[in-house]
Amino acid sequence: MEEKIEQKVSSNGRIVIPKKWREEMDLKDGSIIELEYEGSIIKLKKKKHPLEDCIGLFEGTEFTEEDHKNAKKSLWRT
Amino acid sequence: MPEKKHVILNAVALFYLQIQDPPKILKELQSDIITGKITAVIPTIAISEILWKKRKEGEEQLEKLKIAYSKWKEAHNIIIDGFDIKILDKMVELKRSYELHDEIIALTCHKYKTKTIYTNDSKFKDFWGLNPVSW
Repeated sequence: MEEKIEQKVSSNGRIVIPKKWREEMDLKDGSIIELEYEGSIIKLKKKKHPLEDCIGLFEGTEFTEEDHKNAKKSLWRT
Repeated sequence: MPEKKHVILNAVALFYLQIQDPPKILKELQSDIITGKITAVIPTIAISEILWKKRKEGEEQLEKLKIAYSKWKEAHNIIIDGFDIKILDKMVELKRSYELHDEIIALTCHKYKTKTIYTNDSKFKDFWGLNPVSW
């Protein structure tokens, strides 16, 4: 559902994203957003961290301490 | 602005970052990297260890590793760092020999002036009071 609000822009261009929208978009302190300017419209979207694309990538597999030990051993084996 | 905290990841910790629900400490690490609270340093040796296992698991898993690797490379708040002359400079100062792999990882901590390393290996406490974070 489309929601609209009105806000006054501060002298240096700051506005506040409503808390409810921040929560829905999972915008936290430190999150990076992308702004796109199209004529009279500014689009804002959360920039996805590349690590977020990786989450779940190794699901269903494992890398145990034993695997690590074996990998370490193989490093120096000739 | 204060300098961002660096932490070093071993291969097992790195692997868990690609899992939906890792142990709580690693879930927080995922979030701290994404939001930029910390910068994670991944030693190249840790990537090669996961690669070693993934290659054994077949082509599909190897492709997944390649995707993850390309994402780590492009990610802000992640540094991939290799064994180099700065680490070797520190290595020649060591008075005793440890396992070579551990020396490289521990000296990477030294290079980034951090004591925090994500690993379940408590041996890292032996290196100048490093602080291994385990899960």
